[in-house]
Amino acid sequence: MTGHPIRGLLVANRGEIAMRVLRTARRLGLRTAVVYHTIDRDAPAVAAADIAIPIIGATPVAAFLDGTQIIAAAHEAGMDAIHPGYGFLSENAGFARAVAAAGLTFIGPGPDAIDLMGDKIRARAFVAERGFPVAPSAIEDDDPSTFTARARRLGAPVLVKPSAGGGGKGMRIVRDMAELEAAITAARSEGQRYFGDGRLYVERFVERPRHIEVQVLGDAYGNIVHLFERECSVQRRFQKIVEESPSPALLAEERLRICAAAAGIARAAGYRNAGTVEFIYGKPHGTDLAGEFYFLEMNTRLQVEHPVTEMVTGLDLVEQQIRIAAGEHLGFDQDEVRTTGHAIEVRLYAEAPERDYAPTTGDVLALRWPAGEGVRVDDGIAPRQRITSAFDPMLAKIIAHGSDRATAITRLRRALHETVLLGCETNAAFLDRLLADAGFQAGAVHTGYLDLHPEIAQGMPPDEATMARLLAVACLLTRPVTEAADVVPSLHAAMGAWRN
Amino acid sequence: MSCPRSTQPWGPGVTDMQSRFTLLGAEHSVWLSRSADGYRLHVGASGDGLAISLSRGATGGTDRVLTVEGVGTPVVVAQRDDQVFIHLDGRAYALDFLDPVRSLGEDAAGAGENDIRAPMPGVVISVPIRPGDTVAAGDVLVVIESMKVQTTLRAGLAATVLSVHVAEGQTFDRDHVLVTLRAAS
Repeated sequence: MTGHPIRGLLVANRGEIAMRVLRTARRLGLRTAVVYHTIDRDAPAVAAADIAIPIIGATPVAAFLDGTQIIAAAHEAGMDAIHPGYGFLSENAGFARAVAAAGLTFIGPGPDAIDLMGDKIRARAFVAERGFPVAPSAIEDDDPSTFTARARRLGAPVLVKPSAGGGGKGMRIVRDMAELEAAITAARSEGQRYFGDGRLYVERFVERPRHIEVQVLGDAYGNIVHLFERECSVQRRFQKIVEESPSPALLAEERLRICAAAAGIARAAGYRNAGTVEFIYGKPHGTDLAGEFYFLEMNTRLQVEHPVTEMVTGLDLVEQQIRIAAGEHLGFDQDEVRTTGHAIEVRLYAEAPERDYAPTTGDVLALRWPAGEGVRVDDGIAPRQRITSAFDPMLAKIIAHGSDRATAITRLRRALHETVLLGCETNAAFLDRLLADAGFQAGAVHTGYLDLHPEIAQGMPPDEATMARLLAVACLLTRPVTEAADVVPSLHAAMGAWRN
Repeated sequence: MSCPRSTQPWGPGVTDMQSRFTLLGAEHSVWLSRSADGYRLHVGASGDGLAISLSRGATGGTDRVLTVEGVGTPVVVAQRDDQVFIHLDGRAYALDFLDPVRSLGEDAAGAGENDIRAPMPGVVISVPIRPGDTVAAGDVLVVIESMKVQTTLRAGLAATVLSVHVAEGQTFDRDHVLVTLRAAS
């Protein structure tokens, strides 16, 4: 199988990832195009691409889900390939097929792999059949009469989940098997009530789970490599906030095992281009037992947090994606993949963690990004741009690399302090508190960490000295306040005093 | 006329013309005083206040230096309507100026009688309403002048004028009830 040479690339995305993909495309000497919604007309990607084509939809998001419009735009701009970014249509097998049918190259995996891994139950079964670790489970549908017995055999702790469920509804943790039957009864009735379906499955529960994922890369000739792991355990409502590489949790041997498993899964799926295999990892609490890890899912796209891998490996993943899609062989084998130092990324969002992460809006009145050693910023906003709630609230990714984790943290905190964004509230102060947190610095995080430590989101009011300085600036910039002060001495002189 | 120097050069009546800003949901009262050397900031009950100044912006206008009692701090600032945005010591803040006139209009939002009070001492320039008049939100109630600045007090919402307590040319103190309204039900 050979690919087609790529001379021009259309980015079917927006914000920071559009800028990120364009940057590499331009470096490789490709012509570039981007689609955009009018609400984003001031975004930097629109000016950065050679050709910018407006797209429309019932909502701004709907425009980016319109594969037909996007393919038409690629033809109009004379492009050979489409990069879907992440989100939107990036994991839509139908879109991948339509792109190929239109004679264009889809920068991503083949549609069959997208189909396989997109169906979470099918993916799990595929992975388990080939001997890779999945969380031991008992699925009621397999044999309802033996369900409870099979669930009991899993051993505590377990998670009882409605099969039709989502968003954590109806899930309950059972730590004492004596409570298993009551939990099953309750979960069943909730499944019926919320989803109209009372069927269940039970899975081994990992205490204080950590989210470990492995970057993989495959060419069209069956060569697969892993690019080591990332840890993304600091999350809120299943949304990642901080990602890093390497994981501070894994021992060297565990790291190799998880990465080898990921590469094996990708190989078994005949995977092509960039992808990420996600695992749940945990150590039985308070023991010295080895950690256990289980396949969670595979994401058949470039992920938001890919810069972290790029900074420790020195590779440009978008470049690798483009080369693979153009039919090139992988330019290196597994032993040539090395990592140096430590990289951490934080996601800058237009939201207020202090107010339960409520989204924020505003105009970018002042904007300045940090530029210290080992610091990288992937952003997609411009001065005077209006931040709205039309799209997801991510404004930028700020990443820092250092020779070790502590150095990376120090550099990242400095970068956050140097980041100036005025006019729209962001989570920058929260991110700084998080990086300063003792538990985070010790690497002792898990996916429930922020829920256990709500004070990190809350923050403290400014101290008196800071408050005085802030009020000083505010007063000096507010005309009614300075005018009132300007006038009083002369009034006093003229009137004596207004008594009573 | 010579002005006696004292730590409290303003007598009661002119009073502390407090300005209010909110930050992170908390309200802060401050006022500025002016001396030959520049402005002084008074937060709470502080006596002499802090000597403060803000440098002029360079080309972009957003980078300034705030000096408090001779100590300078670089800040980045921006403004929009009544909001002041400040980047100070590695953090961004947004302060909202509570315009006393506007917030007065907003106070007159309940059922029953609403007193419209003077936000500061002054003199009545004009009062174009009479008891019994119906007013709509935004209609002029009283035009006053304080400190050589004219201010228009407007109805916060639709109401009926119950009483008018002042007349053209009359002086008053801060908080003096000027007009009483009854909000339209």
